[in-house]
Amino acid sequence: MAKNIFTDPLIDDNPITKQVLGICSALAVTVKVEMAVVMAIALTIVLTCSNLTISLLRKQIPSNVRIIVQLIVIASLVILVDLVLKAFLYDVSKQLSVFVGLIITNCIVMGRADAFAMSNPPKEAILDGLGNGFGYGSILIIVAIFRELLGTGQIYGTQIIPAWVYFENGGFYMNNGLMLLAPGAFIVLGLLIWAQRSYTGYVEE
Amino acid sequence: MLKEERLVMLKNNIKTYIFMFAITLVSSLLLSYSYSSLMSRTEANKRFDIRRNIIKSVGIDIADMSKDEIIQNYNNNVQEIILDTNFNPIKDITYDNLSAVEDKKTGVSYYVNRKDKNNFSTIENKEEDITIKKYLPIFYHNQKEVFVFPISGKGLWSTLFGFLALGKDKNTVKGITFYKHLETPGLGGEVDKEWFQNNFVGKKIFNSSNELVSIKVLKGKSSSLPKEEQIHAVDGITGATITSKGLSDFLLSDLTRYEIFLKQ
Repeated sequence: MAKNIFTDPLIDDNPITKQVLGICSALAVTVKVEMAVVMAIALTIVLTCSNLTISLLRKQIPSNVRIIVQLIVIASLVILVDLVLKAFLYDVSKQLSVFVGLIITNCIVMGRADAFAMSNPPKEAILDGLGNGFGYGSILIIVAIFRELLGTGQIYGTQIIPAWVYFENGGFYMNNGLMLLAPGAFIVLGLLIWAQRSYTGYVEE
Repeated sequence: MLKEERLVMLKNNIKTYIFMFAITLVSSLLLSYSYSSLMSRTEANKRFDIRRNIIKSVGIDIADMSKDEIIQNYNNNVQEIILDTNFNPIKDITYDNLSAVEDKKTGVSYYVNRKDKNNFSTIENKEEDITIKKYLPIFYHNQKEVFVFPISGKGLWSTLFGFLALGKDKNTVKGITFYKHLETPGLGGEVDKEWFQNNFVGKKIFNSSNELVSIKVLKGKSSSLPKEEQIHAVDGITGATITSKGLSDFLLSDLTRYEIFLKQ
């Protein structure tokens, strides 16, 4: 049981490709692999901590104000992460800028808090948080690899496509600027969802 | 409604109030505590980031320099010159006493004393205001003989903050850096990149008749221009027309504020 809570969100029940949640941030931070990695880590931390906190409080939270309580917990955690990043990893926080704040509005965090942590004990809630965080993060990084490679010819800031193939150096190749814009992410993400659904055979009802 | 039912409801409501009160109290205490305990670190990071960018803009390769080396280089070589708006040097104020306040409408930043920051932020017409003293900070690197000027203004999504360094002729560009912006990575965000910043090096801000023309960020390549204009222009960033245009505009307007000093 515990194992499935962790591994299911990685592929079969992936928050992005199956549940189609968190698309907004998946478009925003996947221009570069480095940003995607930091975002994945930040979201996993927030998600795991919020799941744990909500799960510990689940018997005390009055059901009529539960969404407000979840929001307070999540918002506090996000601000905390932002403060810690600014104090200890200033350069990273500069790059992520507004996107850390946007974790508050990430549907995955609220979704897991309400759907899972409200009705499960802390240990399972932590596993669920980690699983969904990794599931989200892995898609983010895959999309970012495609976008960075096709958009700038680099992966993680290292030039992958050799300089001589470029048009301005007498070659035949040009970077695809569309990949750096939101539509590029939609196309990559759409293809990923297609690939995964034809693999798992999942059909929307 | 039965009396007992009402009592249960009332009990539930009280429980909700107490719970909400407790959770908001705990979370706000936690956040204000962590904010105040991390603030000195964050401030130090920001200060270092500005110093690092000043050192970088004068043309020193900071890639292999440690944090201490950069601070040392700054402390040993950089002289802060604070001018008032009549271009008289002010002795009793340092750069750390100043605070940049942005006019949200125009994107222009003004340097005022830290103490006046709150008052100045509320003033509607910042450009015309004379009740609060504005200052013009300049940094001079003794060893490289380079003047560094703060530049800032609107791009596409955000205000860009950076530095422009000029040689001792106060005409030839030695470097440009940006330490704060929220432009799209890969498009407007390319202003951070070496290739873009290196294009500025060696360009001139005054034309042959000694008029301040600044540097234009073009749409396209500077090689398409006539020879005499190439020296005042750099290649634009593909897909970042508005960031490029904003940069050209605020470079000119910020340099204009220093024009009298530049011609001295």
